Amino acid sequence: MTRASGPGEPGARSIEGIDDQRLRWYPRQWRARYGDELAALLDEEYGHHLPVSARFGLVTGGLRQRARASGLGGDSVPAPERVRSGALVVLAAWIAFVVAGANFAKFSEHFDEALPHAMGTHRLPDLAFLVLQTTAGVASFLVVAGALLALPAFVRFLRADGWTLLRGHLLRALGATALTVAVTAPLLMWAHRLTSQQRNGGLHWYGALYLMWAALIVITLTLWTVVAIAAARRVHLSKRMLAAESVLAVAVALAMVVMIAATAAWWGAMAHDAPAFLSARPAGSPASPWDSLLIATVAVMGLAIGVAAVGVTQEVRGWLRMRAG
Amino acid sequence: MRTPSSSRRRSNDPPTLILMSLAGGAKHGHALLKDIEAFAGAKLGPGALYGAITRLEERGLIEPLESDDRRRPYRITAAGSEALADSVDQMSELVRVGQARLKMIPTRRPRLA
Repeated sequence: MTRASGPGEPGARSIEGIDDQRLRWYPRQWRARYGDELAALLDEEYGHHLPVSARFGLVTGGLRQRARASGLGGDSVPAPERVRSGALVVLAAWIAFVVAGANFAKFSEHFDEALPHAMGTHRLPDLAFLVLQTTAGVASFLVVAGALLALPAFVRFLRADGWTLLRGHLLRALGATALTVAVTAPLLMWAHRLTSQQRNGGLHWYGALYLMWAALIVITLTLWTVVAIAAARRVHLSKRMLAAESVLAVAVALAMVVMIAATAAWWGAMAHDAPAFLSARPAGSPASPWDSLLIATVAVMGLAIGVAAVGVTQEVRGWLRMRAG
Repeated sequence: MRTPSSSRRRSNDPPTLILMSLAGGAKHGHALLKDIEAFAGAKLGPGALYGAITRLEERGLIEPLESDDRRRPYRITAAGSEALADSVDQMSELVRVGQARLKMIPTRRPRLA
């Protein structure tokens, strides 16, 4: 980093700190306040060679400041803001869980056909799958209910110049949605003409296009989540509304726990009754319950639950602080 | 001054070390690191140091001073002095209890001078 600015030059302090690449993990507002003096400290302490430990400290410090800036930490964060941020973290975790769940839905297609027809073999996988589907439906309803509850406040926010703040996020999300819809229609028509074997690894072009489509879905969901979070951080919610949203968020987090338990039960039952189904991809491989796609799916589900737990903890802390006065 | 998070300060946590260092006079970041290393033997990273400075300033326990260069010095406030006194009292109490309980161990060898 160069020391271009001299003493007393107005504006030099904040501009250098903001643009310093070593501090890119810190939020912009923090860099504007502390960036220049931290950069000066780095120059004085390490010169041009920044050791790995210091780099790591800057990454964790920057992420911690970002968490504080978004209301997830720090004593100065007002309690209602902490509750709201906790609920939004649960929402983001839910979106990640939905992506993993969609992957599981694709993986488990026609699983009942792979089960032997002996008495009782269908019972546990079917029951686990039913619990999974029902809980997913209930959780989706809760998320939609949360969005509908916040809708009047959101409309008021849009009318009060909120549109200009959200326009960029909304346009990106709408563009991704349009592209996803445009790709979905021909993909569906093509899939309709293919056999099950062709759809599940038999046709490489279809597989590649399906992966692209899945990536588009993930991008679209992520962009809409960004819109929801950007809006929800700014809309005014009454205490009662905040309470309703946080209860819904806790219920969604609990639903995620039930769903991963049901997934694990389904996995265990299928490994016992029809291990060939779990290892059918790629074709001809020996029967093993440890399918890498399923492991990755459940890992994402577990990660999402971990993130949701952080959100719920923030909510509870916020409420305890609000009750304490 | 007791604040929720300062009521149970540890002797080696960065905010306490920074308050102790600034109690000896105003310092900028680099001087703080050197002073803390000298009196406590603790080497803080720049990320940890500025995380603690941010929190302390938000709570009004330290305040920045004007400076001519990029290095901004900080000084302890009256509230910071109270918080530090509170922490030192807690640590003194811990030391007192520790010393009293050490005397209860019959097999403990006397320390060589």
